[in-house]
Amino acid sequence: MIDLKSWQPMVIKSFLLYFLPKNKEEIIKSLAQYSFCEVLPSTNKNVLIITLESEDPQAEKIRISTIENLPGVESLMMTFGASV
Amino acid sequence: MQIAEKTRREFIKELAISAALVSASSLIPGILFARDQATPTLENIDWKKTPCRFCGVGCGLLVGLQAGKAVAVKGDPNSSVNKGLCCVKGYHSILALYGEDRLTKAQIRKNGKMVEVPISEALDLVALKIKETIKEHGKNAVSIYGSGQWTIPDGYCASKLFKGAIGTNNVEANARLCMASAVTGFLTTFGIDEPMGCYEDIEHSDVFILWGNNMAEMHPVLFSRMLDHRQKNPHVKIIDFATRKTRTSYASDHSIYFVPQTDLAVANAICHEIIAQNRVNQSFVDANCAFKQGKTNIGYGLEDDFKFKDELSDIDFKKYSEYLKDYSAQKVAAYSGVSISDIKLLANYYGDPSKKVTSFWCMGPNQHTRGTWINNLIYNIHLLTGKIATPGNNPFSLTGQPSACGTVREVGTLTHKLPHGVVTNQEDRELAEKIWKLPPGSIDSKPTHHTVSMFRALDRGEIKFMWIQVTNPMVTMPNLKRYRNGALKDGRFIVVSDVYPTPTTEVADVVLPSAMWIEREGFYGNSERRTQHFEKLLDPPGEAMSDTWQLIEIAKRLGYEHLFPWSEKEHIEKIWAEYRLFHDNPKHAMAPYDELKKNPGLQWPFVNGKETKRRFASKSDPACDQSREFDFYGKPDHKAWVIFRPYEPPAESPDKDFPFWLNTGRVIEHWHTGSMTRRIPILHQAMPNSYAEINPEDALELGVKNNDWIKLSSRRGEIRIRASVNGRGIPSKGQVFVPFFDESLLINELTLDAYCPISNQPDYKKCAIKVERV
Repeated sequence: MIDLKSWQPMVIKSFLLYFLPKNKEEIIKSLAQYSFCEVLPSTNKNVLIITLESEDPQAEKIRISTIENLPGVESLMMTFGASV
Repeated sequence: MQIAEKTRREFIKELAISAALVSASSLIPGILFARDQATPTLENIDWKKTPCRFCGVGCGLLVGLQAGKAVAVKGDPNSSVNKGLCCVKGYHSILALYGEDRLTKAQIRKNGKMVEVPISEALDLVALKIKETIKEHGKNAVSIYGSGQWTIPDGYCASKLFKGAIGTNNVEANARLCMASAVTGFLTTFGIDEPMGCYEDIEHSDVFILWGNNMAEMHPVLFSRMLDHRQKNPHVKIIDFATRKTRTSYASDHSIYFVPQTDLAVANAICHEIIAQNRVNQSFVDANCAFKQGKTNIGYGLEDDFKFKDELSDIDFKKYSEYLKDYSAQKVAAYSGVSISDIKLLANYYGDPSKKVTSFWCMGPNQHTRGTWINNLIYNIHLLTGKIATPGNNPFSLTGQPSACGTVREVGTLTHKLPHGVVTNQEDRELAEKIWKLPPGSIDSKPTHHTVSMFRALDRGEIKFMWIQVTNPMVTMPNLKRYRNGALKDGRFIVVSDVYPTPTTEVADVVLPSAMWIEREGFYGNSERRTQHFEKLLDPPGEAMSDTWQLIEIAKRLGYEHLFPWSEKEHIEKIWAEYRLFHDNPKHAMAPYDELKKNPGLQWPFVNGKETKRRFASKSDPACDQSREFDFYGKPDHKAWVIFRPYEPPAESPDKDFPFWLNTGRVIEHWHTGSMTRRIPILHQAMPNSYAEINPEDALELGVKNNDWIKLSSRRGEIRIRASVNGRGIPSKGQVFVPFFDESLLINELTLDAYCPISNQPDYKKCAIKVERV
């Protein structure tokens, strides 16, 4: 049973992540360790698509900050957001 | 509950990824993703191959089926076209099957209102109207108008029914509006249609010259192959030769902007420079080229009774060179907007014997009142330099529709054509009558109407019945008001076969619901002579029926069952076997049905179990005389013809009343008139409405800001539309660009129905308009 009092909708967002080419493998490796996101790399550009799942705004803020602070990440641009 | 929650979560994640894919495609020219890496693990998926149906590139897709629905798409890694990659339309293509307002039942107009009826009743009425019209007005009062989205069996049955059984050459297709000039370009220069090269040339080229071709949006997978090749080989250059700055321009090494129509002059100037710099490949030219000239001052087809027939006469290299003296870089720079140095740069790339050059073009040169000429002129450059039919050297005319080549050009669904040859040739007619088991003399020897002429004849009342399949002419015809009003006149009977309601179904007396793409078996033929088979993967909704089977049902009702004696189960295989008989020769042999079923696509000529990658080069083309290095066997003299064509002005140019050029075209998110892609939520949301790109300086002078409403008007009509300033594309000063996908903003009410007198293809790229702030 879902406890409706404590239940928070999961928020799913997608982003385009721009990175420096030299850090590509390292970034993908780091992101792969996080259970809250999935990664789809472009096959021909220095861009990744990231889907990020967060249970509350605070968690989302921390996760975005974690990603943005990975070495070689140039920018993170949101393309979609919705609650489950 | 848990399952439902998981499904919703996965669904939203899919939406999130889709949104990112669309954004990335819009922002970054040529970007590609190997999507299957991200597809959630879906169990019990049955993956089936099919070509994409959303452009002429012919990407191979794998469609995932589950419980009778298409649920996933990925690029087919076995397809040599896209090697597992896809553009944003391809990835979302299956969603076009499931729009809420999909046509599932036939409709008949009764007392001015469309009412649903069983499809058998609608088919009975269509057959009755054909019979009545022929009886009262003759066979040339009935017509069929299809498209480059017709599958090969659709077009074949349309041609067999109308040209063979009924005996009228009133068969046309919307490919007349998109690549007829490419056909006449090939026929006049080479005597045989379709590109000699292949996409693989991309990986061999040093320089790409894009002639008015926004490949980043129109052919994104090929564009990405080019970018990828350049990334691996930094010496590779991409030159964008265009009238406006586009996504392609941003990714190119150099952009050269020309005044509309002066591409003719610039092409001649390039040839003049090549000769002046002594860079003609003389041994190639001596062995393989003949020089010709055609008629000049050839008109624009604006009059209903316009007629023109080109005649080519012999000239020699010296005379050709003399003609080109009017096209020195200095003279052409004065009116083309292209600098002397850029003309010389282009001539240097083409003329440098150490560089392999591919030219790409599509609608820019084709939708042109001198479309045949500019196609000829691009070939002239490649012929003078001998850069043709060898790896990396390729003048490559791209197509816009999935089977413009396979159906319209190869099956020949144009008024003058037959599956092999033309109606004016007795031998070609006799071959068709033999294969189709018709009495001698059944096929009329006279072509009737090309597309613009056909709609004019409908307006005048000479054509009373028109059956329109897989296309939306009430959005796409130039000078649209005339042709919509013509279709609505009393005494006209319009049948429309489609998958969704459109402005064309609005003028219909009967609407037939069509099975779409993978809801039936079929074949497409792409830009590089590749034939692609697809199975029926899904049942069509309601009473929707394939266009092929609709034609067969009508043929039966007209008493021609003996000509279409196939069962529903095997008709596609039988049609293919019969169609192959037309191309039973090494110049055009088609692969057998079983081979096509097994492969993601095979290039013709398919001879002795092998595809032909490049034609006219003896090493790779079995149809060549093997004693020669090259054999341009389309012409009786086995030579390619270098045809001198001059610059002539367009049909309409800006003046004091209408001071801007109007150019129309497409956007990456939408296929043609948007009748399918606007039903795909993610694509529709990404590009919900059309807009008018105007130059920032013009915007400043007009006091117009981005997103302001403006009024565009021409001598034919007007629309109100939002301005795009410094948006996706930036036209040169004095020019406006409007995409045509939006049926609520019919830009073709402003365009002019002038056409190339040789190809009869209209020019959608040039007419004069006024821009006003509202």
